[in-house]
Amino acid sequence: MTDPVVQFHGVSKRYSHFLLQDVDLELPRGGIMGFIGPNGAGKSTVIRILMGLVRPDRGEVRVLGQDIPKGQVQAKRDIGFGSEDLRLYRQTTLDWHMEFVRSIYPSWDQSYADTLLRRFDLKRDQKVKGFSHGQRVKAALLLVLARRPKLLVLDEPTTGLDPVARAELLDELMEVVVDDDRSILFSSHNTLDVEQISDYITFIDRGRILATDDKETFLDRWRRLRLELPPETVLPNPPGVVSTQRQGHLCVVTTNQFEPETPSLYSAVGATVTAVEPLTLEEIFIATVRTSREVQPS
Amino acid sequence: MNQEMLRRLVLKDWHFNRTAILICLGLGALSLKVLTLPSEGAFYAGSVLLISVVIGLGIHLVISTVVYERKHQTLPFVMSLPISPMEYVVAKILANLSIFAATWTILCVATLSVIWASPGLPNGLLPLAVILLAELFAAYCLTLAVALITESEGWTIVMLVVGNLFFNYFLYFITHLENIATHLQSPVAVWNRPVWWTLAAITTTISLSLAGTLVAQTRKTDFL
Repeated sequence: MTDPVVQFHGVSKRYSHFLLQDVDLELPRGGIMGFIGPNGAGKSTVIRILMGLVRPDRGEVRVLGQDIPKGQVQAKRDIGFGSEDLRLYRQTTLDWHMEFVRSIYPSWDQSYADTLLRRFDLKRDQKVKGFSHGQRVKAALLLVLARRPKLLVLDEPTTGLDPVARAELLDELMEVVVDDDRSILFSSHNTLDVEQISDYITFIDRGRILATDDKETFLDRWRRLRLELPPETVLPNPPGVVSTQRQGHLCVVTTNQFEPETPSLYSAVGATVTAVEPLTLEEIFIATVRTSREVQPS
Repeated sequence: MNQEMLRRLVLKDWHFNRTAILICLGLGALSLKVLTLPSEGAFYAGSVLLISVVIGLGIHLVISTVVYERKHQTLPFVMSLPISPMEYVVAKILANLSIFAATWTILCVATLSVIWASPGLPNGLLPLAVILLAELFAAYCLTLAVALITESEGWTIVMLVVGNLFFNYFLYFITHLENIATHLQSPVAVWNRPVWWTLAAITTTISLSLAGTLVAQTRKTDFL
């Protein structure tokens, strides 16, 4: 594995009504990490710590080789940050913003900016106050992408976008990481977006990282087994069983440690395995959060 | 300090406030014209307009450059640029002080020149004019400090109200201070000890408010 571009080790931050607890996180260079959590899970806090805008109480943060918050200025030269609550100056045009950002970043790519203008159907001389929400998000993304940052950090970038705008945005993100040197960390509570473009997934809930791994491992490990049981069957309890729902002679077992031999464990006790189904990322996310909340109620 | 970024952020605030600066200078010129008209009513009207222009400029700057940057959510855009929270605060202080001081200085010089050159206005008013304009500068700095330290629209408005109420009290107090009041109608400006002490107190207030803002920023752990 190449040097991670983002590293969190034991990061904690306490607020009066919220505790971010012992966050460990790594994003390899060239990777896209989807950071999934319900509202209020701590996604934005993690991202603000990453950007040096919130100082953690404990732990170490390194981004692009810089200690954060101390090296935030140097790190931010190569970070493109976008957020659902980020707005541009209403009273001026997109062209002014492009000139402003261009004057700061020598890496600004004007021909790519022009391409994005066309692709996103944006007018450079239009004032920002006349933009729709989707246009505002796309304009902000244009300003970030045309800088050619090494790391893109996006906090809920697709929130409030219509399906077409969302697809355009996700396509553009996919294009960014064609260059192996560029990485993306993006938070969302929309698992569909994350599943589409991420190669690493991290789940967060109530300030704790619940799981973090590459997407394929996530999807391969989780399975739903549909069983038919003879009366009085006692099911085995292999490690990784997250839930078992029985109704008469039918049973559904969900596991997060599926192996090719798992079905034979159930066949051995007389059960008929009628189906082995993969789970969607959303189902995996919900199951992970529920299991965590059962183990550690608030 | 990242001087190039500070310069760009200061220029950005100058750019966004250029219309307000021109309006204030225009209204300031109008108030000075009214001030010189040969009637007592015009003198008061001109004075009130001039004071209102300076107060209005201060309110506009603090609200538009600090409060609205948070309220209109443009702060995340600025903070995504390669600057630290401390550099952001320094840039805000520099932008605000340079815009306000430039406009204030023009209005101040123009006011003193008008008083000095107008036969109908006694030069004894010069120290009072300097003190009142300096107090407005201090009130502006205090409001800016409150806005940057508290990051709160509510507290900024409270400070604006307190500052304006205090100005009325200060005006009454200073024009009834014997060593100043007795020289107001004098044909020559009297720069006596009470005048200098008052100006020193105002200068100290300005310095403390700005230093306090920077100290408060070093103690903050969360910025956004």
